[in-house]
Amino acid sequence: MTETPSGPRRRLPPEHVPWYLVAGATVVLLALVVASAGQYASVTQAHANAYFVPTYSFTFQGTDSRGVLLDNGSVRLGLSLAVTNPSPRVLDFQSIIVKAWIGNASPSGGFYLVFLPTFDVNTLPSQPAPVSAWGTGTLGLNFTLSRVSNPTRFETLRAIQAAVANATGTASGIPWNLYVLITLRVEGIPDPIASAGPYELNLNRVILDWGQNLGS
Amino acid sequence: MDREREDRLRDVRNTALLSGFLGLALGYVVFYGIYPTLSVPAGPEASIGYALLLLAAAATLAGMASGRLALSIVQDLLGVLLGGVVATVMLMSPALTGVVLVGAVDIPFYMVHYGFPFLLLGFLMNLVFGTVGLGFREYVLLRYRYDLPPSWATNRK
Repeated sequence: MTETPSGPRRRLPPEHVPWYLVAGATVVLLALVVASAGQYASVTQAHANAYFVPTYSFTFQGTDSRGVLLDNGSVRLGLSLAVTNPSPRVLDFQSIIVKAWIGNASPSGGFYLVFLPTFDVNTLPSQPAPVSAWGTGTLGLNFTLSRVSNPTRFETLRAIQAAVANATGTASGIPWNLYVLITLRVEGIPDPIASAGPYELNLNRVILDWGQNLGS
Repeated sequence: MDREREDRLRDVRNTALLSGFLGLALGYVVFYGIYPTLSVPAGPEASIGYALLLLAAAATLAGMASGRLALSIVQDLLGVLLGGVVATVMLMSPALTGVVLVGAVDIPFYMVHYGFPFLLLGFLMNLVFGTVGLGFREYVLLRYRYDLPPSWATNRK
């Protein structure tokens, strides 16, 4: 028998060993269960609660007295996207789709698509700061349409302006319709494999839109 | 008579504890199988090796702790049921943050629909490795007792 200063040392009966291992494994499993459930809940929270509000303006440069664009004129769409993220996950801007239509005064009516920029945020000259957990993030963008950048859309826009100006005396006040769709990547969540279930494919992407999408 | 009742109570308690342990392991594996990118550890797809290893280890430990084949089979079955409960509770966790995307009634069906292969795998692993654990207990673990110094036996109740 092994003697210690306090008396004989008690040994662990072998049939008790598995119970100690089970207790240890239970602690590990509980930690995995709680961490996984927490991760799931936080990502769901980002999907359900994140939102954004755009502020925008259309600025015309180089117009005649009625507000119709001249040949060397241009129209600029200034856009600021303020994303609110009431979740514990950090969100990275990933891609943006912007569509801006101008009200068409022609007999066919409807709206004409003037701006259609679609791009990956990685292609921007400076990367926007991520949207912090429980915080907000803002992305400012500018798009310009001129005869040089897109002659077809520019000429159509001018024709619409001219038609309105001929009818009302001014090209100002033509209604615009804006639609913005942004994709934010949830940090810390890997991309699933391509063959993953449809419910899993966009878990690490929060897709938010604003406005009415009138099509292309 | 009291001793017999005491033994039965101990069996019930042990079976309940080990069923809970198996259910915890299986529930985690089912959730991991459905959402590998949201689990801890996260990956692009569920690792079958990791799931098998975890289920095998849990079933072996439960078998070692159980010590009786009949009770081991009962706890395997209960473990599968509790595994479904644990996975369902994990899938309901967003409700704790006030987010309800899917109705509570639909979640168990969702869990069974996507997690069925893992529930089945868990049941088979529990049976096979539970038996392995029992064998390990009988032929390795308990033999260790016989190798202890004789004086040790006097300290046992």
